[in-house]
Amino acid sequence: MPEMPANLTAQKNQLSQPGAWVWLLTIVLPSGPTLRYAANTEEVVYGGQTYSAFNFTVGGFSCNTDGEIPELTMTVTNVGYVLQDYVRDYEGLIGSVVSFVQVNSEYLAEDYSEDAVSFTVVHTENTWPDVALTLGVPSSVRYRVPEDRFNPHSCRHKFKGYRCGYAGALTTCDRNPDDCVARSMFPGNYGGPLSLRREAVRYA
Amino acid sequence: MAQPVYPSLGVNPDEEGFVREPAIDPTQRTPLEDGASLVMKTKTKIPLRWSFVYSQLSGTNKAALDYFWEHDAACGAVPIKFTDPTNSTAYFVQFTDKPRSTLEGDGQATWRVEVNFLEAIGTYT
Repeated sequence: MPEMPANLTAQKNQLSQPGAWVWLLTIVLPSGPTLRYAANTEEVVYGGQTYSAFNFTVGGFSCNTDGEIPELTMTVTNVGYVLQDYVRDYEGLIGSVVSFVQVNSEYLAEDYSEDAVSFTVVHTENTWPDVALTLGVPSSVRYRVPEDRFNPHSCRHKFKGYRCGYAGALTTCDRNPDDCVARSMFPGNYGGPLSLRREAVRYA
Repeated sequence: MAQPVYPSLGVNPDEEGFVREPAIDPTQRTPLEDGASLVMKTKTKIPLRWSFVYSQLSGTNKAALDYFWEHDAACGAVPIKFTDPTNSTAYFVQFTDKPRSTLEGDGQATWRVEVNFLEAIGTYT
């Protein structure tokens, strides 16, 4: 869990606070420029970067135990079509990394990086004058779930690859222990979890 | 490029009902058990808004104002330079809506015109 620096936490919890707490938004486009905006009425310079005054709002973020992938919606006012070219040129901004951090205008020299949160754009809806970006974790289809499957009957190494190590004349392998024995690579280069019981398959 | 300057209409707006105030309340307030509130400001600069009325504006001046709104100010799209007559300070503002005009009932063919401004965000000359 990110932690705000102690001096800023003390500042935040005071009833009387100088300065304004301003949301800063950074959008890192895939193979493109980095956009920086501040939900403020004037520019904010933080960390050597200038964040342009821009109108955006961030919806609530909730986590539950129902197995749902947490998502939130960020609405960006696009009256001047500021984002239009980016949306068109970068495939709807899908895959862009969006980071938020809230900084105090009186303490811009402090380091807020541990308080920043990052999401990936998973959906974009353009309805003038707003662009609604659905933010979440990267698309679940990119990852194998469960991440690993352990089967003692099946080697996980690519045949003739670096971990397989076989360099003989045979051109195929059924990835089972018998084939590995036939190629004189068993057990040292066999990629199956031999410690599992022979009839067991484990997901982890 | 210099911004268009609000035209001099020869008369000042009515004192009664003249409004110049912060346009938004940029705070997040969290009430506490003891009755106090934790107040966080979320903007570094609070734009102002103006609302005022010209009574008995001549037809010529009304036409000049309407023309300025439509062409120079691009119906509110272009920030304009406006000098507040109450403090003689120049501000860069935008029309928030069209000038609202109604004919006065004084038999002089004069107009009652309501104007609304919002301070423009950004830096202008």
